[in-house]
Amino acid sequence: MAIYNERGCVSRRAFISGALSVGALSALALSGCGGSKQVASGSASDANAKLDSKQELNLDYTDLQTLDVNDIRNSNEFLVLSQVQEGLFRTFTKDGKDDVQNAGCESYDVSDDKLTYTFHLRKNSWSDGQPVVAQDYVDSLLRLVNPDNGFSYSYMAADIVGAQDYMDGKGSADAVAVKAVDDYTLEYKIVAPIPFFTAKLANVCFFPVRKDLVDKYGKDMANDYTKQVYNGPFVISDRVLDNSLTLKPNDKYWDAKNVKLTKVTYTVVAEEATKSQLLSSKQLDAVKATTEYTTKWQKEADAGKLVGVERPDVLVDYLSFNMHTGGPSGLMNNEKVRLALSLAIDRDDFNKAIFSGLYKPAYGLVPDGIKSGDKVFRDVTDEPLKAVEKKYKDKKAVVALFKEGLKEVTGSDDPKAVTFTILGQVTSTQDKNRLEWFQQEFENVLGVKVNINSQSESASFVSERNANNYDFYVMGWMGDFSDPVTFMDCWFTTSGYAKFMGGYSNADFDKDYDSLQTMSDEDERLQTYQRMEKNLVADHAGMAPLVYGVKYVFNQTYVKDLSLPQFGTDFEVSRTFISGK
Amino acid sequence: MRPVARCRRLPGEGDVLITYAIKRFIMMLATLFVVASMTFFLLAAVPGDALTERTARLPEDVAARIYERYGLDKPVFERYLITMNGILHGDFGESIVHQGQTIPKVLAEKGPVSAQLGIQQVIVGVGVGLILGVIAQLRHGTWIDYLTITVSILLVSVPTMVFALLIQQVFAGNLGLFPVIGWDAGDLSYSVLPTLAGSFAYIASYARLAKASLADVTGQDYVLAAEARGLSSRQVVVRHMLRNAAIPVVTQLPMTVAMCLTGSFFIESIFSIPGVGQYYVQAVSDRDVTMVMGFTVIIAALYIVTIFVTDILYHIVDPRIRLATGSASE
Repeated sequence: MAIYNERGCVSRRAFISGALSVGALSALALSGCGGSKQVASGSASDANAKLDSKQELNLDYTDLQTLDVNDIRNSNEFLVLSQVQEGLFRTFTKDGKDDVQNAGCESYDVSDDKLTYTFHLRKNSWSDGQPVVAQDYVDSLLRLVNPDNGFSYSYMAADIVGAQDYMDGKGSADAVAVKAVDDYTLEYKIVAPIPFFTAKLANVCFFPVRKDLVDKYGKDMANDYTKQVYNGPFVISDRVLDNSLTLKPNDKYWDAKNVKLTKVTYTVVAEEATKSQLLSSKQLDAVKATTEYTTKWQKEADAGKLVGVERPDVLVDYLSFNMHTGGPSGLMNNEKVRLALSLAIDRDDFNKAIFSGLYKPAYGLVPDGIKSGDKVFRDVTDEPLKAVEKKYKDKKAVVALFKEGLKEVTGSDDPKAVTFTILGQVTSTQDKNRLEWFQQEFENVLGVKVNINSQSESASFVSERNANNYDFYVMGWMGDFSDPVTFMDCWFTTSGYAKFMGGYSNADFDKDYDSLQTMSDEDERLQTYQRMEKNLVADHAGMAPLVYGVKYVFNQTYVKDLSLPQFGTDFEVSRTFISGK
Repeated sequence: MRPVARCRRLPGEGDVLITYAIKRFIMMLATLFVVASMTFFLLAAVPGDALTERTARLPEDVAARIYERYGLDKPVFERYLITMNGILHGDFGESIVHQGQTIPKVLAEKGPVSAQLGIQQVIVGVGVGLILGVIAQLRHGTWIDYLTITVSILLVSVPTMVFALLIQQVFAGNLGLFPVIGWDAGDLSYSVLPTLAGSFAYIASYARLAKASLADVTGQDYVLAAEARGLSSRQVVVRHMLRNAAIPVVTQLPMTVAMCLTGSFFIESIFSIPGVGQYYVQAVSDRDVTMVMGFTVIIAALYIVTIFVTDILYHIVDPRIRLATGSASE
């Protein structure tokens, strides 16, 4: 789970997979976008394509804060570290879907009780020639969960026996259930038979580390690429701080023969206009579009000059209601009021007015593409709010519901006497438009007054939020791995994320959440998730979903086999090649 | 005003200069101290810090430990004393965001790039600006004059960033004459567009400065006298007018050079040039306090020292300028 980019707009630090967000989907100030949408799996794969003599790929990035896999923080670090280091798995895309392949491991066994995972490691070497052994994975995990290190992604390891206690300062490293059975056999024991443990282990934070070098170089390893060793398809061959980073193939890599690129260059490109120039002049080979240039590039893709790819992004935007105090209006603890607010939102109009229709209106919590067992959750689950909306087709019914709730709290049913406060961080016109859109929508539909509490800084936003000076605000949540739980586990009563989620608390939801801890049957889990989503979104309106994210990537036509995994890195380039530039 | 033909050395003037220099030096240190202190407290007053985002999802005690490790858990005044003590000993500390990174390391890596670009910009900008300014004044009242001044007003009013993006699009994007972005100290083609973009502001200000200074000396007694002696207009301009008009330009120049060395954020970031400016602004947005403090103090020191040196030189070079002590003309 991860809340993302607090700045929520075109920031230099790019998209952040796993940072706080208020407002969520990035600033897109488009006018009348549309155009055809090509759904593809990444760039075209052509087994017979002839390789160009020059196999070089150019991408943009923002510089890394750290080269330390355990300390990974932002999407830019996933982008690079996933290519120079390797864990148990590597994710490619095939026919528009993630294709997770064994990488650091050749195979693995799961015990009958589904609590013990044994990985049989592949023979691979670090770039200094040392073998990659099971102990390197053990050292990595113990370092990740060591509370003295305070690594951001340590929570990902909470399923491993003893890890949570150690992180909480209650247990010891010895009690963490990870073991190197021999050099090439690695074993983890988990606390509950969760079906998504391997999906979690694919995260960069679990990648092996070389303890001898960590001890020798200490923090210099986090910043000096020459003091690092690499076990992935590439090694870092040059880095200019805050400017550019160059990769070359790792000749010690086990699958080196399938790595065709001879050079990958990441460059900091500050301006979108410049990015567009670079794309036009073929000096940039692929971009993830997050701005108004999406429309321009889509047109070029329609004209065959670029390849445009659209994939569901594993994130959802929603209105978070203040159930801690009921908000300045005092109404937010009333379910009818919350549901009326949720139903008053015209999601299509919101998507068109604010995002030029680039995203997808959301009537549930879990976005497209998230799997529950072997099923895609959204494919087998109707969005719960749609059914409710049918009952309240007439806006008068929504107003009646609102008045009913209002009367329960205040004894009066006059919406004119109600003033709501929407909190938001405003750093762009689009942020401002978004707040004003809600103001108008609620004033028009419900006849209430809406005040805008606008903050220009993320820190001041946080302090207003912590002081509960809001009735609702727009929040974003990005999944960390493919299982609905990544979206569920911030809504139970004692969740550490309650402060971001308005403090939703519901006994049924909590009971279902607890039952998940020991549930391994996939159908049962799916039904539980479905119940929980309905509970949160429809039955008790603990939040109001707005839009699901959509990822737009544009690449040059000569870039082949570029993978766009849903989680971790935006671009997996280890099988990519250039043909026909 | 009558020009001073010759400087007579007044008794005790050397001592006055020394006293003045000492006073200015003390003032200089005081200014630096104030700048450093203000920067520190302003940074401390802004909500949030370099660790806010990083620790957002950590349990409170773990977050607290990280704050402790970077010393950000200490009260503001204590942090202030530690920081100032470090600066006094020339130690700005280590980056909070990029572990192991220090000011000397960053300066060694990025300083030469910013300096090269800056100096190129100044040479082109000041050179072209002066020539334009002189031509405008010599053709005073003609269309050349109006054109030059209009262009320089335009250049100074349009933000550097707009120009940079514009020439990037035209010369690198549409025409493909130069690389769109990047830097290679050995390959000048990378630096043509950034040099040009950064020189516009200098062209504008130096053209106006040259024209104004030249206008000041035009019609002065000594110019009329030179003309009356029958010197050719070329001789009058070169030997009498330009030499005197150069004083304001010369005094402006050290400041320009000092400023150009510290890099231009917009130019550096638009053209992805690995200079100090780009790093500095990133440090500000990351709230990387140690790096921001270090850069600010160094830049402030550079400016202040330049002003100090300029003042002293100014006095030595042009004795007409009296120190405001009152004692010099006794």
